Amino acid sequence: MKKPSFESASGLRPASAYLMIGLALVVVCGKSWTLTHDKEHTQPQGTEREDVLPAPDYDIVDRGGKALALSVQRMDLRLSPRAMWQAHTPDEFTARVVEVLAGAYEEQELLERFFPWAEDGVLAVEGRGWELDYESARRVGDWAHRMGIEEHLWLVRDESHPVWRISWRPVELLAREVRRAHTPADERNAIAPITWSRMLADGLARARGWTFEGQERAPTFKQKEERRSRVWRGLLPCADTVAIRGLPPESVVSLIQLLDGEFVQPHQMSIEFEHERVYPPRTDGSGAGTLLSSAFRVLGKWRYLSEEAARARAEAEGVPEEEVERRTRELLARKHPHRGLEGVAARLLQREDFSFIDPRPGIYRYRKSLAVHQPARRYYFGDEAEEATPRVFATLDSELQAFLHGTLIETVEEHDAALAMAMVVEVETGDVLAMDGYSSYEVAEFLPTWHLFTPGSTFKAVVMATALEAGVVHPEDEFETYNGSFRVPGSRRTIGEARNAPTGPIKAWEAISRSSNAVMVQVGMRVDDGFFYRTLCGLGYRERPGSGVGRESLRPFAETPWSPAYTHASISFGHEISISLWQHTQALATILRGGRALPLRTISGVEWGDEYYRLLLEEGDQVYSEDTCRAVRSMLEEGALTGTGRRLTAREAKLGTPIELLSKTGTTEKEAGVACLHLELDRNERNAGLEGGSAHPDFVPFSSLRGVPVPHGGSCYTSSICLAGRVPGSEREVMVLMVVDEPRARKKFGSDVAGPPAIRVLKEALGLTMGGVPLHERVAFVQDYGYGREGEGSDHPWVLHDGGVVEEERSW
Amino acid sequence: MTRALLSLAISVLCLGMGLASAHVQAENHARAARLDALKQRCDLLEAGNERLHFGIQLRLAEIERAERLGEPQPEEVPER
Repeated sequence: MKKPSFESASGLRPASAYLMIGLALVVVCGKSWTLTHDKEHTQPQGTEREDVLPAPDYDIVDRGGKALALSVQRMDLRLSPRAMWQAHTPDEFTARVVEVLAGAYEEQELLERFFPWAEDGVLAVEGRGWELDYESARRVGDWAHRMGIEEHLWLVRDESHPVWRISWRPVELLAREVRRAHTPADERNAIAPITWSRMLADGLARARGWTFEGQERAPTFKQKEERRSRVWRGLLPCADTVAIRGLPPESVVSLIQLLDGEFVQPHQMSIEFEHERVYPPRTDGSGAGTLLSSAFRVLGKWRYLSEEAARARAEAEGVPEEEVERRTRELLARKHPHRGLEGVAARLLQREDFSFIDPRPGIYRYRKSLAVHQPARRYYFGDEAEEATPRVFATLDSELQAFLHGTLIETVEEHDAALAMAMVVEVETGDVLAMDGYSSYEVAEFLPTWHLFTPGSTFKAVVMATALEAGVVHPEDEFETYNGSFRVPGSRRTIGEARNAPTGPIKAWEAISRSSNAVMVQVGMRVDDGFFYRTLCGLGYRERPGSGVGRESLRPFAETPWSPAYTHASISFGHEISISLWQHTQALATILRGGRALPLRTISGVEWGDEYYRLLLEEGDQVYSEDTCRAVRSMLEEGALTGTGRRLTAREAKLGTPIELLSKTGTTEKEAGVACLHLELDRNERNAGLEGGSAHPDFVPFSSLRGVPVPHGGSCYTSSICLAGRVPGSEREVMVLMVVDEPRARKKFGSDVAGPPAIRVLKEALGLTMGGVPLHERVAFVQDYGYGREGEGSDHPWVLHDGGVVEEERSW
Repeated sequence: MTRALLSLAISVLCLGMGLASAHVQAENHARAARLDALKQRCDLLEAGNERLHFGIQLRLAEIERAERLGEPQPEEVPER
């Protein structure tokens, strides 16, 4: 039997129909494919977001890899009190937070932080629309009475006007007990906080007279919400506050769980984090400020820019004109390195030859859904981890820096000095191992670059080197000392001598080792003043060194031609010249090094990822010949053995310290008429806190110090010493230059005042002592726990326990 | 009959594909939302760990310093 056939209405055969459908599907698939992959025809994506996190800054570590400055993430608890407390119960939630934070905060303290604008738990409702006239106040009062909340929300009459304002206690009014009183009797639980918030807002708005009367249609949900928002803007004006800066990290997970469990929305309360600059050496375990915090002032700090500075920097970056405003705002929003090693490191990384060190910031990509009447939702889309943080290696030895600071404090206290400052450098490279200044007065500036002093006898090494270099003096030349009453030829000026100065004829080299002013004047005056001037310029005495670690003072010495009897004679024994410690250290290190002038440096290299980029030493000008420097070194060595430094050497020999010393001491009596530094620093300290500066009535002008008698009687002195030393058999030489300005105690001489602390610092720098105690005594105490910390080697990697010396090595 | 079956199969296939696509898409959204939450939590944990690491570093430095200088060891920090 033949099957009945089906006639297609269109005349198409079934196979053709299937083929048509198939083709249609292919076309649909093709179009879908095109839409997916053809970038020109993609749908606009308004939901894609990209959060670019701040690029990693840089860490600073000391020469042994110990952290000096780091950026660590700090977690803050941020909330919008207005959003949060409409939906949550303050006292109950706060109690849970206290529990989670394990007693780090008291409940009352947290509540104060959660309601930052409340005083004693009372919030006064202020602002436009909340100054109530009698009628409005009466309605609000009636409403509060009807609700039974007049204990928690009340009206206060203005003292001078017939105006009433609302005051309320949010913690009490939003408490569960009050809500329960308004819960229908058949409900087991108290009404939800958000319901109660709406009830309060609606009731208060009606009492306030904000109704929808006259409106034809019933108010929409949106209109109601706007009215509630208006009420809550008045009741809880604070919409954003950081309640806790620096959450205890061990509590964060529990806190996240609490926020999740309480259904706290991110706009209500959230944990946020940001980079915070921390300085491990400045902090002890308790977090309290200690001696160490002031020992590491040299690290500097970060600070916000002023608007002008931010704009200038944005323009200097060369961004297009239309972008300057945006870039300025970006710069204003975060702190920037400022002075100290922080500033030096930042400038180094901004240099063109280091521009390749530009770590990529972390990027988080997500899509954000903004559905109607739904909280915004975020969908993960991808992320890129930030690149490694560069580690800037400072030349500082953090332990030595702390030791130096302690030593300076002791020195100032022992000798009742106005200030003491010192620098410790590696002679060969000019690497600064430690540098610091301490004053018993409040001095904001960094003393080694800011405070100028008269070098006195320590400058004689420079004068002698210059004379030898000029070929006008031979070390064996004999000079008359005139027994302390040398009259400068062609003048009436007499050059005085310190007590115990040599008498009778002496050799030129003895003028250094035994410190004779008269002979040094004769030596210096043999040098052409033009040559003298150029040499001093070559050593860097007439320019700011550009150290970057602090504000630099400069008082340039006189231009040539010099008055022979005065400027020329004075400079020849270290007077009529004011220099900074940094300048003098740089110059003396040049002589000890063999005449090659290198700028002192505080950074030796940068480590980024697996690579270490060492900063090459500059070529440096050869200011003196090696022969000249060798001769001066011999004089300084003699100074340590038989001259002004002999007692220091003898003491170390007695102690059995394995050390070879070179020394030049300085004791400068300040000229009459020069203001006492104690008075000057005291005056600076008094003026520092005055608003309006010199316009303030209590401002003390500098001129008022002139002629004021010295408070400590007698003369003012600057005691100083330059010590260089090495462990026998080692090539490594370290120099310490220490200046103690205006000691008021009994001792005045550089060898007595600055000598003992300087040699303590030198021995510490050479690794002969640890914390001031000889190494062989200390080794017995050191215990090896068997753990090592990443990036941290020995503090004195060149020192072996048996006193031997190895070259410093780095493992990268 | 065959045609009806074929038609049914295509219909079911289309419907199935549509449902599967919707399911995959919804699941992807849910996963992305979960990933976002995890990402935020990981970031917070990472920050917390960094902070703790810093605290440990400080503590070690303090112990080491006391040891170097022959001073008494710092007191134990009470556990939270």
